[in-house]
Amino acid sequence: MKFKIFIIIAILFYSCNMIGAGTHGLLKGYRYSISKKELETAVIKVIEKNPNIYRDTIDKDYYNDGITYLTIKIKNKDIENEYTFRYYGDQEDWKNSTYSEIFICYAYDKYGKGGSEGKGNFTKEQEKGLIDAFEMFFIDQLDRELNLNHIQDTGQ
Amino acid sequence: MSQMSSFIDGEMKTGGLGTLSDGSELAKGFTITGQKDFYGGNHWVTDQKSYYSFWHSVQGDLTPDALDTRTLNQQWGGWLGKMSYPGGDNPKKYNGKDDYSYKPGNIVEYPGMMHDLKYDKMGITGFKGLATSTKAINADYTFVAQELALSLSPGLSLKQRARAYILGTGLGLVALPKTLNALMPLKALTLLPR
Repeated sequence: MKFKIFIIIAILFYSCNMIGAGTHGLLKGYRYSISKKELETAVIKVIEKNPNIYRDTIDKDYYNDGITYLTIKIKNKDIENEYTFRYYGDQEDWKNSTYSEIFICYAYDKYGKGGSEGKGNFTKEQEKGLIDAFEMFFIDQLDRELNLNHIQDTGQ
Repeated sequence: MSQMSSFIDGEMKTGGLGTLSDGSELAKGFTITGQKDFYGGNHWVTDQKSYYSFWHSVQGDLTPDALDTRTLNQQWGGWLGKMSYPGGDNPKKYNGKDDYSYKPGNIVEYPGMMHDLKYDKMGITGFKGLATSTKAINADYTFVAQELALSLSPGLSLKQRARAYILGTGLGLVALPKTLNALMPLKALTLLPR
């Protein structure tokens, strides 16, 4: 009897591992009490002002269309990380909502270590390092550009 | 020049897979083994599995934004037939990003694809997100309704209808506790007469 219960629990546990959204998820999000349009303008300004931040394949890539997703590279001394982030919500939310948010979908270092919340080849420490660098070189400047403090969204 | 020199050094080592300036390998290797035939001659046989992996590693370097076809039809370990979207193992590009360019031939997969795109928008992932994120309730029940409608469709085979039913009820059951909690928060329970 105990063995049967163990087997059922094991099957349920295995199933739970296989049930999932299968999507990129959110490594970390940053919410502001402004419209998406204003946030978008500030994001572009920060990228243009900062020589250490740049975008490749602009407008050609699904993950770098500039409207929904943006992919940037941050270079500073030993750091050469790539981040793909997304504006939360859809056209309807962007038009009507009084707040907006960007969240990191994918992050990779120069060795290709990284990934998304859904799937990645990095340790928790490496993930933290990637997020810390993003905050130090991008989010802090975005806060300054907007003269606002963000609210963190960890997806919990 | 130093990059060329370290690359050549790498080539000269056992395995001979040149080391690039960032420490990575130029390409994955594949195995070729010599086999003696009946007459004593030597035949060189390529190991298909390692060659397949090598071919995809080259393809991944050349076209990192292309769909990695190895990630198709990986859902549920094949339990529910060949499916790419409903489940936790979605198709990916060689660079690891999610890829929605593949249009499945199986109609039962479309609600899953739409559901995943909605989850992408909200940054929700994994079983935890599925089971706890109340902001996805609308997307979840759209999926459940679409799959249950397909399970009732007389135009589909019994197998397809069964798959749609399992997917619809499965996700519905997983999403039920968070839905009940959203409709009747625990705080409200304290107001009930004892």
